[in-house]
Amino acid sequence: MITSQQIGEYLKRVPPLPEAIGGTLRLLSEGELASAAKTASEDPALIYYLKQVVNSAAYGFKQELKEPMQIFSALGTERARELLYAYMVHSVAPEKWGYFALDKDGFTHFQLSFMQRWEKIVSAEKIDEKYTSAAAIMSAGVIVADAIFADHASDVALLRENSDLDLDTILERVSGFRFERLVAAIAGKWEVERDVTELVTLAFGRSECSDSDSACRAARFLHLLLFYELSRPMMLDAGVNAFISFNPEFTMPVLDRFEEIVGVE
Amino acid sequence: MRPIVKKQRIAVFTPQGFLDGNSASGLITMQDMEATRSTKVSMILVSMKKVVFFNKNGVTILLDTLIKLQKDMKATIGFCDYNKKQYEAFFNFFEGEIPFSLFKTLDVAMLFAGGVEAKSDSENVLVYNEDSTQRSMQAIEIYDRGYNPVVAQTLDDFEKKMQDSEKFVEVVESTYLGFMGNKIAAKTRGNCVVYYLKGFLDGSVTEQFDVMYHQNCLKVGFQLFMFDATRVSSLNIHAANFFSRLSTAGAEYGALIAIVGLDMEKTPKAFVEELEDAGIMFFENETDFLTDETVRSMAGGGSAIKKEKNKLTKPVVAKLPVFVESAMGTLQMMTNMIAQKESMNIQPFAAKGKDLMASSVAFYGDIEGMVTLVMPKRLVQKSCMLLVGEESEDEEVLSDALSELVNIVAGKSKTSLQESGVNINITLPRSYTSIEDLKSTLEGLQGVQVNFSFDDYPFTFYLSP
Repeated sequence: MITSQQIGEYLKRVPPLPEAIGGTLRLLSEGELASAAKTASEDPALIYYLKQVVNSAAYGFKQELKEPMQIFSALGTERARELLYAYMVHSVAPEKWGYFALDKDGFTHFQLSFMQRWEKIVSAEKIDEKYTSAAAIMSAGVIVADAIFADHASDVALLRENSDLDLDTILERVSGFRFERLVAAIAGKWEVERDVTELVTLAFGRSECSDSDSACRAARFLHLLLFYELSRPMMLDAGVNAFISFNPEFTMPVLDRFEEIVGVE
Repeated sequence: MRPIVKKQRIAVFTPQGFLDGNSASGLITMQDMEATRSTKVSMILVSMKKVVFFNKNGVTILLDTLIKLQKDMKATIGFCDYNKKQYEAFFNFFEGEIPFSLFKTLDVAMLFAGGVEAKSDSENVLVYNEDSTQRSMQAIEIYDRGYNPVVAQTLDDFEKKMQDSEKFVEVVESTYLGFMGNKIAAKTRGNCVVYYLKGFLDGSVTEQFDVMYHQNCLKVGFQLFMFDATRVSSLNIHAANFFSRLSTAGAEYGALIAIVGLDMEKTPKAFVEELEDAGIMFFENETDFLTDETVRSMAGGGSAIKKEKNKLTKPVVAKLPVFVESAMGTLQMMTNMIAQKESMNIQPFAAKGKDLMASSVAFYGDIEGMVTLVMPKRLVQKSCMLLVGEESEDEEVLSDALSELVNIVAGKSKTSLQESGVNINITLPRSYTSIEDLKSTLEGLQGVQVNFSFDDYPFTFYLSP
């Protein structure tokens, strides 16, 4: 159905970081917020995206943010980095989705909601701020899944009529690849910090980890949050709930705290 | 979300994540309800195995949908695959008045849904529930389905009996029966389909009998049908007429209907004579039935009378490429191997290769026939890896996976045929205990046999009337 060669070709098509974004990210790492804003302004599409997002109701800034410097100052280093990765993910999202019944707006809504709740968890749990970008990176998995399964929708539908297989398991069984590996490959191409990529990989919920590792607890939260978002009617209806397999046991140690932070009743 | 249909008896929804007031409203849409209705199953369940959080709002919203389906389909509704905490939560939400059923696992639910294959000689099922009414109810329902319930009266007793858990085909605990559909239970045992009757049989037997299941069994070649009437007090003219009609309808397939254990003293002689005239045989007990010469010859397949139509019709042959392409496409998708076509002939079925496994599915509607896939166990292991996840050695697992594979092929063919304006329905798949069983089912038939090879593995596609 899907071969490793096809997967390789797909990964090749994922663009590397554009020069302006790569430069902006490097300056953010050095804490040079003003220079980062200046470099970012070389990419008008990026600035347009950032304006749209930060001035949306979801971000709730009182004043409209118009200038790159205003935007970067309001966001701070880690949230700015998060939005740069969200933009990269957004830029590889298809105009027309082939497998999931989603559109660009629907995906953006999911991605922003996922990122904002993740920020809330990072803050409440005092998780290292460098992990703020994790949700944005993880959301790339949905796009990868759509691209890979777009031409196999009817085969997958037939398989899923008989067995409750998620797309990740199908992919693994036919090609030996898993989405976590593909997302990690894309993260590598986008120069995402190694620790963040490792957290995202762990948050796919396929490997055991020890709570003594702080990234493990964060990964439990991220896995649970992903399924909180994928349980929303829009995502259920679009078929994204079956993107990967949910691992309830993996999330049990953080369930009560998650309910408290996110406000699940 | 679409349900997955297990053994044509249970439709299961398996949500992942959260089941609250918000998400539950999007879980089963109008289209999903329509798709569920078309499955004609006797049980509709929501699996909780991948639900981490649920609340009363979520369950209530979901329940509204399930109750609508229950009314339309007269099906049992409920939840399965939950843990202890979730089981207790259901009781807390509804303060003990639960309007649905709870089955600890899908296997336990399957026990109550009927239509399963007898797996071993032991039919003992261990039953335990804190509530004595539930305990009795579950034991009765299990008994009505042809099993032998062993009831543990106390928790200590249950734990003691659990030390010998291998003695039981299933253990029923943390299970609650709400409203149960009243379909007549059925089980397959080798080449025989066994139905379990109870009480006084009147006209309502027509509604309780799953006609579609019976017809599906006929279409995939089952010819022996035993009605266990040991728990029947008597029957009236309406029930007698029903059995008479059933026997007449099965004659086209050479089917034999036997009623076993009916109390002849309480049954009017005229009814018995009428039923015997319709070809129904009566036996005092199961041993008499199983040792009867006619029954034995049919169980072995030897001298069975075959379906009257023993040749493929032109419209079916015209659609052969669709079926073959679907089979090849599916196999190639499942194995990532390339198929080589070796030969194609109209002929009686001839087995090719060793250590073979087979499964059939029949189709009916605009065109009628049966598709059988035959392949070595090794190829079954390879092609079912996608479904099973590993190269299993377990015959039962492989047999189930092969049935699912045949189901996928039939589903793919159905979709392709629909595009060219040909509508078909498909039956439940049938697995064969041995290749000899398959040979006896196909004996006397002229079908199209297409031989392929997948790498070095032989693969036979057989389309029969």
